Amino acid sequence: MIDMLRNLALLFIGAALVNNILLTRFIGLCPFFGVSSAMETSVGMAGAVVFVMTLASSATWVFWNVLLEPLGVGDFLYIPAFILVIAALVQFVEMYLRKAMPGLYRAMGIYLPLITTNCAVLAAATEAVKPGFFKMNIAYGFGFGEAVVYTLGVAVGFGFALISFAALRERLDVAPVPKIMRGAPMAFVTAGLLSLGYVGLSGMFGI
Amino acid sequence: MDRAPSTPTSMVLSVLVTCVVASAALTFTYEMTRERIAEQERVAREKALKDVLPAATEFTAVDANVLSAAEEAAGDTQVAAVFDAGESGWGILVAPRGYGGPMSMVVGVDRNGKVTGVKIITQNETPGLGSKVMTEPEFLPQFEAWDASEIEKAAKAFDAISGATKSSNGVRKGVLAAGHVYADVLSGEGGGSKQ
Amino acid sequence: MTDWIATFKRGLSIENPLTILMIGLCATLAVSTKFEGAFFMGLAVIFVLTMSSMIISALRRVIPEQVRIPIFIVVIASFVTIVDLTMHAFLPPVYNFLGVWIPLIVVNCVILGRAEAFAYHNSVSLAVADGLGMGTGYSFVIIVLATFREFVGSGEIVFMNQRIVALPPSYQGPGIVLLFPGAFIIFGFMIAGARWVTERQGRRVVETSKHCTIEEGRAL
Repeated sequence: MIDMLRNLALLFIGAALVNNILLTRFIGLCPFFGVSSAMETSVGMAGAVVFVMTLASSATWVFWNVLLEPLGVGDFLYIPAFILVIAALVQFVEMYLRKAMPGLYRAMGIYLPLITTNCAVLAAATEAVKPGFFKMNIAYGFGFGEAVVYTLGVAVGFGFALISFAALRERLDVAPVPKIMRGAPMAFVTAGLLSLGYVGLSGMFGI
Repeated sequence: MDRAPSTPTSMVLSVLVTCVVASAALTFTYEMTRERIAEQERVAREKALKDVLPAATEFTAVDANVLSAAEEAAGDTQVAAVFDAGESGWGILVAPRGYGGPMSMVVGVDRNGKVTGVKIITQNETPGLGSKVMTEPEFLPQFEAWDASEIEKAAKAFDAISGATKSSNGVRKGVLAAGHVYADVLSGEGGGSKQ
Repeated sequence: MTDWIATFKRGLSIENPLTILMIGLCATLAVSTKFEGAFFMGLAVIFVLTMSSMIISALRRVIPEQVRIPIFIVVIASFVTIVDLTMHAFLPPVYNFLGVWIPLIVVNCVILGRAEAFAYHNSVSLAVADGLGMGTGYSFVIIVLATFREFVGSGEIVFMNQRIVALPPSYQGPGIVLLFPGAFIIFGFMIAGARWVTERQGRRVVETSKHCTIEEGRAL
């Protein structure tokens, strides 16, 4: 029991920090640069990603293990199938939130359409059923629980990187940056330095 | 511009038709490419096995229970397959983790437990840095003549490539795992009886 | 015909998906460590973008508006899978290098963005011009970036197992160029350069497509 908890905790930390999907794998950069210009949007996006990514991975895990794998069509249908599951899920979440939880919808609603094209969601969902595929250093198959914990870790890592980057960018706005580098170019250089820090974590915990 | 109206029927129908046409096209492409993909993988694997065990003529995969014992012996490192090469020894396919994820490599071990060679089939290390484990002329040969039954001892004398420590260590882990597979499983004459 | 050429050229310059619109970045930074990888990635994107634009534009009158996104996605994903399987069968080393980035073309904002912003509203021939132009613009940037990184980082450029350019073996490149942080920093300077050029030509066109970014708290 303790062993299992320890493994899950390591899996979580490994997914969130050591193999941070944004800064060590380059996956999910579009929203990373797209929404990080303001703190408020970053927090909203991070919340929406944690929510949708975990749901999406659970859904694709079930979909894969119940339908695609037993039918033997997983190898060539997983890309359209997963992205369709994710797109449909996002639609339903949007509809449900709008009706049932208008408060949450106001906070998260505008980010939901963006999540369909967030490669991090597809990557995490695929990794959870085809371990090793996205080179995130996993060498064994996942059960449902592990898949959920793993995805949660990826999503939290995504949110963490996004929010810390947004905080840096807010400071950059008032920093004396040469005119030609202002805005996006400087944001990339900053991301490079941030990524340098995360690369330093690689190999910790043997993950 | 006049577009098709979004009625429930038209919506369901159009998505359904798209999905059916798409799956048909993909099934067709899959059938067209499947044999070639399998063939490519078999050739790459065969070539690597031949490289580490040049004298062998035939490679047969070991029984499932030997393989599962081997997986247990290898610990954290994944064992993809073990091939019996008769008098020449065994080819052990392992997938240790490097910097950029699992690498697929073959370790050849002869009947006396000497490592006959190491060959990397595929890897995803950083090109120009970690990928040097494949190109550096002195790196892979250093594993040859390691004693698989005393692999931990042999592994102490090990030179990593500078700038590619993590990838080098990945390869070392793979050879270590193969050594354990030999010591715990194969040295008992491939009988599948662990220890 | 002039329309066609103008549409094609936009993707190369004033609406370049990478340096100006800044969409589809993930794969760009990740696969640009090798000229060869970038070259085939560019080809894959051109193929998927052109083919899906063509199909979507041809079917634009029969695709109901409310379910257009799922249909776009299925069309794009199918072409991506075709590229994925074909590369696996015929170019195994390249396939192995590009790995996850081929399936991830599905969620590349450039492709869905163009389907939504252009192909769904324009004729087949213009949609093809747009796909080709955007794809070429994308490929151009990624190849330039990869050539720089491979040459400076490892001192040689290898294409299909042939060394095209090589510095003497004693050359020790700065490894950071090949690593993730280096990619960000170099790309940052590259955008600055591209903007400088665009601004000097006195043009300023920035249009970002839906599903890719948020400005002032509203999805565009």
